[in-house]
Amino acid sequence: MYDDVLFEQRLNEFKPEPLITPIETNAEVLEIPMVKEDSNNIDLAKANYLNVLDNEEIKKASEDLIREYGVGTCGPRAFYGTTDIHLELEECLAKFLHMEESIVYSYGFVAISSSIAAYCKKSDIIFVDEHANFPIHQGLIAAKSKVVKFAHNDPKDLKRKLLQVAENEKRKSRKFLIIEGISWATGKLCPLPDFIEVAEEFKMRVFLEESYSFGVFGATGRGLTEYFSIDPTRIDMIFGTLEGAIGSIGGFCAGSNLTIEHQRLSGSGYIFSASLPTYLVKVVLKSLELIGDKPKQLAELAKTFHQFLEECKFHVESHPEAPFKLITATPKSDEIKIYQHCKENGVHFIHNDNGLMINLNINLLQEKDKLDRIYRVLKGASELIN
Amino acid sequence: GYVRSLREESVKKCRILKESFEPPTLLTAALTHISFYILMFLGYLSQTLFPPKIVKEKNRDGYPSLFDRFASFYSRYVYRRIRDCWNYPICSVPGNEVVLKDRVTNDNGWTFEFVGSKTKCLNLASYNYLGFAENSGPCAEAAIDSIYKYGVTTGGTRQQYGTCDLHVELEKLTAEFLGVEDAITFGMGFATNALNIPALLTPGCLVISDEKNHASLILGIRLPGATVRVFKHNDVKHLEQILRENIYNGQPNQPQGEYKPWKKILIVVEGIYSMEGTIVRLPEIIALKKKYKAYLYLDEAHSIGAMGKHGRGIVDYFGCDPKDIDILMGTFTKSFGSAGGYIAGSKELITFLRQNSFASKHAWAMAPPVAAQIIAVLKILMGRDGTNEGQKRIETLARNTRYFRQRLEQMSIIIHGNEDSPVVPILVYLYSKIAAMVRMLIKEKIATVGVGYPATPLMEGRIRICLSAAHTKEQLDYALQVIEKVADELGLKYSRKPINPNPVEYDKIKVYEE
Repeated sequence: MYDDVLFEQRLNEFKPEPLITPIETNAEVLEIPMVKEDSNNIDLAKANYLNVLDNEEIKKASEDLIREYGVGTCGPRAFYGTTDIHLELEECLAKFLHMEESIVYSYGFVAISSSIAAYCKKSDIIFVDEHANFPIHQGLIAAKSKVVKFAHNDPKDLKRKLLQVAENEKRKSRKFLIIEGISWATGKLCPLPDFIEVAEEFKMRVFLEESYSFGVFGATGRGLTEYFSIDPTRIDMIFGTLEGAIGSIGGFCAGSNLTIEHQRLSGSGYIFSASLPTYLVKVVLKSLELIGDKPKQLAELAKTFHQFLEECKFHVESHPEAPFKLITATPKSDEIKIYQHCKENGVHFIHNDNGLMINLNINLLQEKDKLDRIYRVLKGASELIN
Repeated sequence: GYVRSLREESVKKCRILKESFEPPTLLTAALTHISFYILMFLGYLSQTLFPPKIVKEKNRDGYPSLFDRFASFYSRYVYRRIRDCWNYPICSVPGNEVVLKDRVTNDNGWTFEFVGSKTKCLNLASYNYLGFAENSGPCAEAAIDSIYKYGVTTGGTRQQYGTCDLHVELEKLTAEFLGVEDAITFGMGFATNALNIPALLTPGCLVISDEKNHASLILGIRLPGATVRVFKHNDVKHLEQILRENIYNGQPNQPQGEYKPWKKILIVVEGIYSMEGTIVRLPEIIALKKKYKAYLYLDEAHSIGAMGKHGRGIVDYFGCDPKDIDILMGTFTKSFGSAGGYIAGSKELITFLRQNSFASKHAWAMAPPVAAQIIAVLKILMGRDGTNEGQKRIETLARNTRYFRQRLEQMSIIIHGNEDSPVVPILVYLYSKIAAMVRMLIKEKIATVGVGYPATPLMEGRIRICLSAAHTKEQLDYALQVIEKVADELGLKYSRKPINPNPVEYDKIKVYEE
């Protein structure tokens, strides 16, 4: 029971905040369009490491598939949205990664956050890197677990934090470790063997996120498990987006039968969403089929590029073999100078909160004059700030 | 019985909503409960007598278990028995007919093997409301052309070199189609809800959401830490009661019990609810939101394209003003035969989202062929391709819906939802009847979807049929004939309402009468 007069007064005085905070009118360009590659412009902004997006065979395969299955699948996986191509991809991914089973999501971001939320509950403790990427953070919020951050790529700090937690907890809780193969924020390679050692000592589940290392590291592109020669069954789940080297859209998780079957009934981004359009599934299949020795070529290009950048006295955060180069500069205004200089000279790459991100492409190995031009422009930029 | 609702006050036209939610008899409810307990008991018995094959994980001795026991028990001993009704693989375009890849299980549902043959079935399961899931025709050609022009994907996020002309064109067309100022599109419908609602809410905001909202809406509402109140499904009186309570009481747990009003109040509803087949009472909710100064978020995942005289969704169906709704959201997966989602509204809102949406910053842009398909479909729906194909499809869908529903009611089968909703849930109640009906229908070459716990309440198992403009009258008649036969065999004629004895004539059905 309540007072009508008071209610009317409160209703009249109720001034809700505006739905959105108003934006300043002189904000910079909100959406940057694709670079049109021509004689004056070189595109180093697209994530096209193995040159999948320009491959004619893949484009023809996509066309053939649209002529057979249409574009959309019009249903979630459980309700006739599963095509035989989806099943083929899941089998192929599992075999490629030497895991028992894999599951494919229709969006990379959702694959990462849904899979974390499917396993981690309120009573668990999750250890993540301090620079973990945004989808992982969303997954952690959705999971409502307790989160402990450790220093970037530092297994010793992880061990310290683990001992602290183990001392202070009254009841033994489940512990998870989420690490990125190549960090999205810094491009550094994670010391996987050391992390796994710590995890096995404390009986922690290991989830390895391989968006930028899948298709890049290892002789056949299998990722960090091949690069460090680690038995994949020591890792509970390898997951990531298919949007990096593979050049499609979507995400995947791979692990043991038990682990992945669980997601088919509790991964909300899997159950409550339409399945990935069939032609994008075919792009992944074809991309894996044609992978050949492209990872090795990319590693060569990455190392040479890294060396060149260091010679120009740029501060390069990323690992020499990482598929993208991350350059930072202090003060921040120098980064803007480099970015503008290169853009004016026709070399386009990404400038975000982490720094300057240059996405490599293996076809630069064939197009020597393009590569030389990029080197010239970057050298010019480095002279600007030094 | 029937629920009638008349819109009040300031709204122009008048539409009577005919919805029905006939409850089952006491006997049926009791039988359903008992059958479920028997299933659970048998499950526990099986678990003790027959432990599953895959029990141990490799390299994981001494680790705490990864899954909770009830979830694995349910999945292995209850769900497994009827697992073959779901995840059926197809090998064709999901049009009005779909080709299923036959499979058998030789070990009671643990694993499946393909037989090698394929069966062509009538497709009453896919979300193909306007029949645009086609592998030939102007839409497919547009999609294929865009592969060669822009590539299979754009390779980046919208904010960082991932935007192409197709996105700009699509957003303009979508805004025009809906009658609002601007729109923004995303690569996945689920992500559109889960990643954009957090950008609009902070702790201190109140969200009032319908009981039966979709999982993506619930996730999007939970993430930012705002307070959530749930109102009974489509119950406008309960919604009003909650609004009044919360404006009166303000935020809870304030120091010294002082009054602090909510920062903002957001009402979240869907256009058509996909499990119930109900249509939201939009005019009444708009009147409420204006009276109590709340904001309204309308998720038209299933209704865009499928409802309304011009296919413009629920807003068109009721003749409301799209500018009254603060945030219009929808997906392109259902009526457009493609993938992805959009949000539309005022230019201010969309500019804000372009800058702050998590999806624009961190998730990949919509692929060009996907966007090209939607543009082609929008042009057809708006009549810009020079034909009246769009209008024809919209009318065919409306006619199919009314015809199918009226014929089903004549058979004394209980169906839920609004008479104009192309989503038709046939109530079967018992868990085992879901499986029996789905299997029998597949034997007769009809593909349908069975839904049970936990997607629906425990005692309300159902078969959900999605009608399409691509279905011909002959196909619908065949389906109705088979459903009647199965209903007789399985005892599904639960309805006790009086039946209209006059035969339903397809061509004489009036759609969109004023």
